[in-house]
Amino acid sequence: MTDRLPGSRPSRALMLSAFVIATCGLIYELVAGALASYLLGDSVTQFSLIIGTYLSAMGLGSYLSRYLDRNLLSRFVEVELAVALIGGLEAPALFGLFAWSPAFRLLLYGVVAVIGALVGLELPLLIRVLERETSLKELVARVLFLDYIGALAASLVFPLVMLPRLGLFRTSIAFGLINALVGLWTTFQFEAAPSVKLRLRLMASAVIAVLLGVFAAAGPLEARIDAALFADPVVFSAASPYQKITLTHRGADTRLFINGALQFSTHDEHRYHESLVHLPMSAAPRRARVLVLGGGDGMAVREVLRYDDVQQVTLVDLDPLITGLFRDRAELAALNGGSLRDPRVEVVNADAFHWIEERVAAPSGAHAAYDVAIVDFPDPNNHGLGKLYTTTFFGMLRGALGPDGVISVQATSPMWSPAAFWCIRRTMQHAGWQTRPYHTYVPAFGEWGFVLAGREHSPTQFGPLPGGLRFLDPTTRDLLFTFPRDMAEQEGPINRLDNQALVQLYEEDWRAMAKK
Amino acid sequence: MSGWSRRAVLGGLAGGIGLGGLLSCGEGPPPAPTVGVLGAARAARGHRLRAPFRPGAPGQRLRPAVCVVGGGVAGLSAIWRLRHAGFDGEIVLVELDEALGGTSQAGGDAAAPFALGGHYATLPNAENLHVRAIFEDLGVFLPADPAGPPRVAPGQLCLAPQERVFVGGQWWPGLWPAEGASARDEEQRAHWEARVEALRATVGADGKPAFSLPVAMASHDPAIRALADQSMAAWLDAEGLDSPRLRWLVEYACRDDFGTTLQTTSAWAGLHYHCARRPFLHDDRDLGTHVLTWPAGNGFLVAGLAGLAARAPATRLLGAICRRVEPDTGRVWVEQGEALIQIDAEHVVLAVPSPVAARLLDRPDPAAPTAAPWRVAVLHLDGPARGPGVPAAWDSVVYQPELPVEEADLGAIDNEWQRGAYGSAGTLTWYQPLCGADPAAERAALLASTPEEQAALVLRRMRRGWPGLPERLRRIELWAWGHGTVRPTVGLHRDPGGLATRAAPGGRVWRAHTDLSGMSLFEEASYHGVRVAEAILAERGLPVERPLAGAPA
Repeated sequence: MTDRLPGSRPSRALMLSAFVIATCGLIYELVAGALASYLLGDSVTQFSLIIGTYLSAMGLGSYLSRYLDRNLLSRFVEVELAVALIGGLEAPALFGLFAWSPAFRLLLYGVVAVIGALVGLELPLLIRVLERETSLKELVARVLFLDYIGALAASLVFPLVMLPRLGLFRTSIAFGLINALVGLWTTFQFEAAPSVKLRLRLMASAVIAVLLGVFAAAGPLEARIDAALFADPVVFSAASPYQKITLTHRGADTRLFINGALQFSTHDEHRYHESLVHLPMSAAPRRARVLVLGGGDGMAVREVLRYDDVQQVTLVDLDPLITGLFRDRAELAALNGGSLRDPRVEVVNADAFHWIEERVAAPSGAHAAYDVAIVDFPDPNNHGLGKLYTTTFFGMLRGALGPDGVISVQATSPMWSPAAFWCIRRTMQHAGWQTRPYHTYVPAFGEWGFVLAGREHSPTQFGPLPGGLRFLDPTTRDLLFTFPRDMAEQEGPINRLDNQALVQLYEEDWRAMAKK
Repeated sequence: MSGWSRRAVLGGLAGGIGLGGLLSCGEGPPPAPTVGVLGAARAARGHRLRAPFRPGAPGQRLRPAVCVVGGGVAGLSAIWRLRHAGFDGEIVLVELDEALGGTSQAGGDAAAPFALGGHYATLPNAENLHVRAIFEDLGVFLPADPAGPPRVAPGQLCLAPQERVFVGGQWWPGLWPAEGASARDEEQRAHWEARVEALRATVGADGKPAFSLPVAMASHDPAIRALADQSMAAWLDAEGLDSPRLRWLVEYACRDDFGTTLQTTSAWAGLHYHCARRPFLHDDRDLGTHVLTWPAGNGFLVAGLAGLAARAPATRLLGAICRRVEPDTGRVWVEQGEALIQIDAEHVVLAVPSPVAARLLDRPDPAAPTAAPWRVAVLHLDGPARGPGVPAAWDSVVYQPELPVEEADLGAIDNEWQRGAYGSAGTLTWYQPLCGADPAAERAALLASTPEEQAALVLRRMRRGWPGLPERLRRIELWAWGHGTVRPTVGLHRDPGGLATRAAPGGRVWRAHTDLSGMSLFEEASYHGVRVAEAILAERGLPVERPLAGAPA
């Protein structure tokens, strides 16, 4: 032990660095978790794996601290600077690796493990340095207090302030900078040979310079990496704590991705949305009141508003981020023709299952019945989404529509997930709907399926279509109901809350597809 | 850094957890998550029953038509049946605990309830009229033609996926530990399922089903009842079923419903679990489960029954200890705090376990069924604590064949599951029946262990299946059932008359308790309550249009 603390004031300063270390440490963990969720989907699994890797690596780091015996303060600064560099560059580095490397997961956990191990080294080192100054009782109480509070600060600041303001890249770099500054500052808090101090300060300055440089370049860099990830130039991106929205643009084609998954391409989205909306709308005897479930991008609402007799549209979508962007951002609102700003449209941000449940449970007469419902949920790839395709849900939906009510339901691809498609049709039929399945070719997705259904009567009579359509005409409309042999109806279970058969069928369909 | 210290804290708490001991330093920081004990005063109050009692001058006299001693499912069902039939006489309910429900009571509040004991019921058989009537009254079933099958209301059947099992390092769907099972394991499972299927359809010489729920509806055919003379282990041996996985599965069921092992459970009871349920339902296409459950577990049924029971005036004495019941006069002596209450009732429903009834009636019953103690832990999480494999289920069970059966646990139930949370957050209730051959010794050990030791045990058990738990756990609360579930041991179900004798002490007293069925199930407890209520109605000359407890006990 040649490094020495001079007096009591610096030890208080070092205490403060426990707080900063805790904050930065948790931020790196959150950055990695958020990034893995964006890139790989399934945020629960990603966060679990990241937390597991990170914590075990911290444990390893803490254990390894026993092998450091000399010059603890210098070691502490070095570890601090290493964390600053690797943690700070974590987000841009991992994003880049995802775009270019096939072994992304391995690299992701590797980087997380290294950061975890280094962070795990820090606190034991700090405690040992300070142990010489203060009683263990006092020390543990104060260090751990600051550590917990630091973690709280991080968990509040990350989703509420940093991520929305700076984005993932600059959040990660900003905390790297804070780490590096604490390292540099620490070199002024203890006594050591001038050569040692000089070396540490040069290292710190270099790390700070690198981080500042990357911070300045972060904007263009993020765009470059997005561009590698998405085939077309990225024109817009936004993130909530739950998902990342990316808009790409090339020529006349604009594409929307959520967590990297294609939602629509302007090149052919009219095929999807015209098929989804105009079959029920032109089959319905009345369409004064229209319900749209899912479809927060406002594209389906745009089609609904083509009918003059529509008086009221209720759009129910879970994510306020999506509906907000598609209402308020000019370049996005241009895609739906400003449909979400139409005075006839009411936007409700709620879980559709619970929204319908409350509505149906209300005393009769409390809510006016809808004439038409457009159901456009994501594919049933988890139980939370699977419940939106159950007998219970479709049964409640019947209760929200009038006797002449007509609906259409996005029902996955009859080509790629035929078992799931026909399960949705069977389930609707079982819940009392009179169904007519149909399908449309959407180049960006492939062959896509829907189910048209009437509450009491099968919708077989169609009225005129509105003007301005690009895909549908009466002849085409009639063709959509024909299923060729490779998409023929299949037998199977109905989907209930107590069996969630659809999620399993959908998974099996896609597994089978992947093998082809 | 957050993780380092939290890990160390949990390590210090758990004591023996390998890494924890390494990291925790000298004087550990204060324990987080916090550890709490629920219902600590209950055992002491219950054990006052053992003190000698001499009637003195009562501070209060009550003269109700009916006095119900015991506010569990049996007692509440008796009151429900009386009120359901239009009986409006005064009823006094005496309950030892501060809360109603007995082993079906829930904890927490209305916004975030959690189960502490009974946490499911199953769809009733056609012959099981009383459960259907209760469910229709509670809104669990929708109104339906009594001649046809019942209609279940939305959201009552357990949401899928109901179960998952942790085996081979990850979670798999279902309860059968298929991962790593040999061809022989699978063969034996198929053999077992075929046998269960056959026994479910078997009818005794008296024309009744071999197994039924409630057990009062089951055949008395001695050829079938002979199964009660052997242990479940002996039955499996005789069938040549030696697959460790199959035996684990069958024993899991014994532990889950009875708190007994393959060695101590009778084959009749062990098979009953699998063969007694033949539900029918108006809409049963692709039915995923027969299990009905609620966020409060069977606390939902308790609250519903208590609400319906309050249709006419009733006095509830909570935290009140019944000390003596005199069958001939219908006099009941009750202590509540310092007060002594004398209740002179026209009818007394003694809805307490047989050993307690023996004390209150002062009639020794050395052959009374015994009950297994249970250790229960409620884990309050602030986010999902999942492990590898399938993400979540209502019931999560760890396959742990390496543990002696006496130490094994049942895993955990997600209390938020039935709200459609799909594992996103909330509370878990972890259950461990103490299955040792000597329940009294198990009980003593349970009551002697400290909350910290118990919390450490729970966390150790959950370490593999819920690796994220240390990050998510905010509070762990412990609950002990000294007498959790009646043990259907070898011999108990041999003679159906034996249980019936215990049910009828004579005079003005009627006994209703699930241990009269030899198994602790909602269907059984409510059956006895309804049966006794119908007997009282008949004795009072009140017409019972449609008896719900069809067969005699």
